[in-house]
Amino acid sequence: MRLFCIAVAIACAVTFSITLLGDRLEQLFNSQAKEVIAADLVLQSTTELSDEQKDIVDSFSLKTAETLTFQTMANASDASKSGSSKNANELSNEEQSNDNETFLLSSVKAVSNAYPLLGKLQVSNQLYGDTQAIQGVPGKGEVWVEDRVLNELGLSLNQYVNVGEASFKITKILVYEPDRGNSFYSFTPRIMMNIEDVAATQIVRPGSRVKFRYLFAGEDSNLKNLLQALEPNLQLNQEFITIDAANQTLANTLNRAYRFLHITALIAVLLGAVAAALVSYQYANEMTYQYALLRCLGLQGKRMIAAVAIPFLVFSFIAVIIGLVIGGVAHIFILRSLGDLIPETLPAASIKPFLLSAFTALIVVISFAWPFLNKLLKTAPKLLLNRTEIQQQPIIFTVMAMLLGLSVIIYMGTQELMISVYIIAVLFVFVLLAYFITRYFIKWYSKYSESKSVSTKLTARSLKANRRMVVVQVVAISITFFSLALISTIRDDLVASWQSKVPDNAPNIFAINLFENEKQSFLDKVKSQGLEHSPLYPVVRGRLSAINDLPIREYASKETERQDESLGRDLALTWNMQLPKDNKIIQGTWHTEAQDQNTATVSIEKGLAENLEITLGDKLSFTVETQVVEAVVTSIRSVEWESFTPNFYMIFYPGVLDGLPVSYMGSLHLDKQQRPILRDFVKQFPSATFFDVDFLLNRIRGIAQKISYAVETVLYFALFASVLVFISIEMILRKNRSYSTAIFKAVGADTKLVQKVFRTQFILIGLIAGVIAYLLNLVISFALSNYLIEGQFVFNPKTAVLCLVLAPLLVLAAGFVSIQRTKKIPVKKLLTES
Amino acid sequence: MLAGLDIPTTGSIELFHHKLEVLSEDERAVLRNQYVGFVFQAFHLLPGFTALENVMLPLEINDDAQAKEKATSLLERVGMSHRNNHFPTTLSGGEQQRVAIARAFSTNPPLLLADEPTGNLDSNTGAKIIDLLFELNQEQGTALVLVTHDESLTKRCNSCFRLDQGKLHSDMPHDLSCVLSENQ
Repeated sequence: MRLFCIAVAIACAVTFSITLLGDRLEQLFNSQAKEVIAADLVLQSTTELSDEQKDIVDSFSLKTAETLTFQTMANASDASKSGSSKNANELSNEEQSNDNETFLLSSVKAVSNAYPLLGKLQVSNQLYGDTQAIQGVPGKGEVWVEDRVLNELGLSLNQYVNVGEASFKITKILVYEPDRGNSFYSFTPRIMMNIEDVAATQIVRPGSRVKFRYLFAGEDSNLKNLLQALEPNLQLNQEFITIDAANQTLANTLNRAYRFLHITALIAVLLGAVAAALVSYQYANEMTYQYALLRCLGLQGKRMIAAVAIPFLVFSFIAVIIGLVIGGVAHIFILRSLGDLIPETLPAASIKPFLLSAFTALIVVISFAWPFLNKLLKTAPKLLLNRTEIQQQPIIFTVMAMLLGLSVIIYMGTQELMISVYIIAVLFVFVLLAYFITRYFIKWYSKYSESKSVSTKLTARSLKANRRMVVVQVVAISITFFSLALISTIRDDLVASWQSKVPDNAPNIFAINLFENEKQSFLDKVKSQGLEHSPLYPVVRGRLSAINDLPIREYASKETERQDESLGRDLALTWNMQLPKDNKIIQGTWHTEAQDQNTATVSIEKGLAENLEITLGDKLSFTVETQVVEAVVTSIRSVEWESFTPNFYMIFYPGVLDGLPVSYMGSLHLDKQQRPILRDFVKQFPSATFFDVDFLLNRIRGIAQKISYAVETVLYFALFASVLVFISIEMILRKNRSYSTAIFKAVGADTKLVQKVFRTQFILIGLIAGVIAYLLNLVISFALSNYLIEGQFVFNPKTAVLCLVLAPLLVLAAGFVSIQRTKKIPVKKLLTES
Repeated sequence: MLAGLDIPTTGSIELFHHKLEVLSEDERAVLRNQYVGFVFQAFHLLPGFTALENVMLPLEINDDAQAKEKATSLLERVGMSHRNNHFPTTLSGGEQQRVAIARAFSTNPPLLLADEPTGNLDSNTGAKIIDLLFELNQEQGTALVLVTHDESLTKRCNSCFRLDQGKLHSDMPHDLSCVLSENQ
């Protein structure tokens, strides 16, 4: 019973610490994802909230902040220009105003003091210098600006810029704002000011084109209530923004990473369940005679059930409590081991991990332990007379119960039916394979040993004698090592694929607004500096205005629930005969001359197509300046938004956009030492705009690393659980082993021979398990690399070492105690046992 | 203690010119393999080994190239040749004891120790087992040391000692008798 208690406690502890970690990390990741909107919830509006709406907001105790965004021309203030050598002749015609001043169309964001509610602004005190996170917003009379503002207005820090009727001191360079979204190609540079300064600019008046954003953060229930209270009062120009609509880059990375973490945890949980089953098997075997005796003495019916179930339930309950405590302590250690990778104060855990681990423990107990204990209920008193009966219990019930439990646990872990079915199918094939391979190996080895030394013969016979347990051992060990190898393979692949999305030389500078006549000199310059860069893509700025001749306002009205964040702004339209590298055609066919030369056609991004319910053959109309372009959808593409290369919602067949104002965009990589080159670019291509996305890249890299650590931690649990499986099997075999050892010794075998027999057995068991694990891992990795991950199949020597060397060594180490015990087993106990 | 399964805390035991108390556990095992055969009350066959494999065990430990042949013929001798490949759990108590006897005689030991060989058997089967034991004893010229509660068996032995409350009494005056200390 003690052992059963330990096994269930450990299974529960494993589950608890993993789900607790998972839950808190999930909340952390969610809050990080929420940084993308700088709040838990955002209400966006083109007008100020009505008094009624403000009252509603005030009635909830939430943290709030406001931002106000508008576009305006900014220019260098006179105070800054004194000493500036710039004169009118150096300015391009476009930039000239009547009094020879440089004006720059800027996007001004006025923020209240509490902004941002989630996430932090990143600023720099020097052009292209190191960035730092900062708490707070520009003070009154100050602005923080993007580097482009300084470059294009010829200003430097601590000089003044005019916005509307007011002049502001530039105190910092704004590098990153969490809620800017993934459109790096915002066409206007940012000036951030304090919201209290807006009035002084005299720009915002009734009817001005401005965007108000009301940011809220606080308790989930409060937010939900606010959402419900405000929703009926919303005007047409007002809408809530949730995380889902926000940054896809981060969301996708996190989603994939978290699912992976879950599957890893699942393996540890399953191993825990196997350990619990093994210990229960052992317990049931040990207790059979005791219950047979109780039966024999007349115990029956409910009292018999109570006799079996009550101690079992009591110990299960104690085990769950112990498990929760151990799991909690383990969780603290994991957090410590993750160190500064996660913030000091993680969000508090929800009730979910407690319920999940208790529920998992319940499933383990019911489907993995109870079937064995159920046998006790059916214990026939005749067992007392004939011990052989014990092995003839039907196992169908046990197998069915375990399969059911397995399915539930797997489904709980994956939350997806198909993936669960795949995992169960793989496990089933695995167990069958392991079973047959082990049986055949033992058969072959018995034959092989006939002409060999006595230790080989005895090893073969011992394997054969314990073949049932050996099969269980091999299955448990091989499944452990298979999982470990697979996790290690997938993890390496996954981390590599995340990192390949954001490799060290990923483009970190985006250049937009290059004109046709600058195209060649830009490419030449990039080439002469030896920089890595993407091709230049033509860009026509246009708005989606109608779908199948239905104006977009009607098509995507509130009633139709067709919405996409791309609707309210200009899209970067491009054309290309070549499908971009990371894009995949989901429906329809990519541009071909045969198909497209007589019709204006376009390929659309999958997400947008889904959100707007656009299907193949739909006619899309775009407004570009005053002209309208129409095209028929001939393909729907998936786009890897995570890849830091230019991506497009719409790719037209070449020629469709001819005659429209076009500019070019591309990306390039500058490492730290090369960053000063950017100033040359800015000078040489004054009309172009350069975006620095280094900070975002580092953020994504950071997440990949965190996930990788989290997975590693969970891996330790899986390993721990697998050792537990070993120990359980050793406990089951202990009696058997002592008995054979005593008999071997009684008939004249010395300890050395007995130990050799044991050692060889352990190594062979480890080796068969390792070979099975390795072969299956090879097959699965091969399939994965071919069908899912789309990578080249690479021979991974790490998994070979893991399976073929570490597995036998670990079994040997786990068996060390058993081997050592052979020294102490006295033969004389055979005389007292009858 | 005679077989070196345990060693005395005081005194000395000599078996075939070897002082048992100075030998290590392993050295005593080798000695057992060469000189001593065992028949236990609870048979003590390895459950995962067939009847034949159980009998072959001491021979193989002795690196006997003829292990299989010798074991087969011994099983035939004890009337178990039809059950060579059966596992102990499928054999009756009497059959298991026959296999155990075959195993005890397999190395042709000069000394055979039998610890209540009929203790777990009914009287009919027990009698048959004893007959078999004595027959083989005769055939192989083995010294048989038998421990039993069955007084009738003592009549078939050449000499007899009684252990009572830790004291060993000789029932035949000309035989040696010794006194064992209470705690042994």
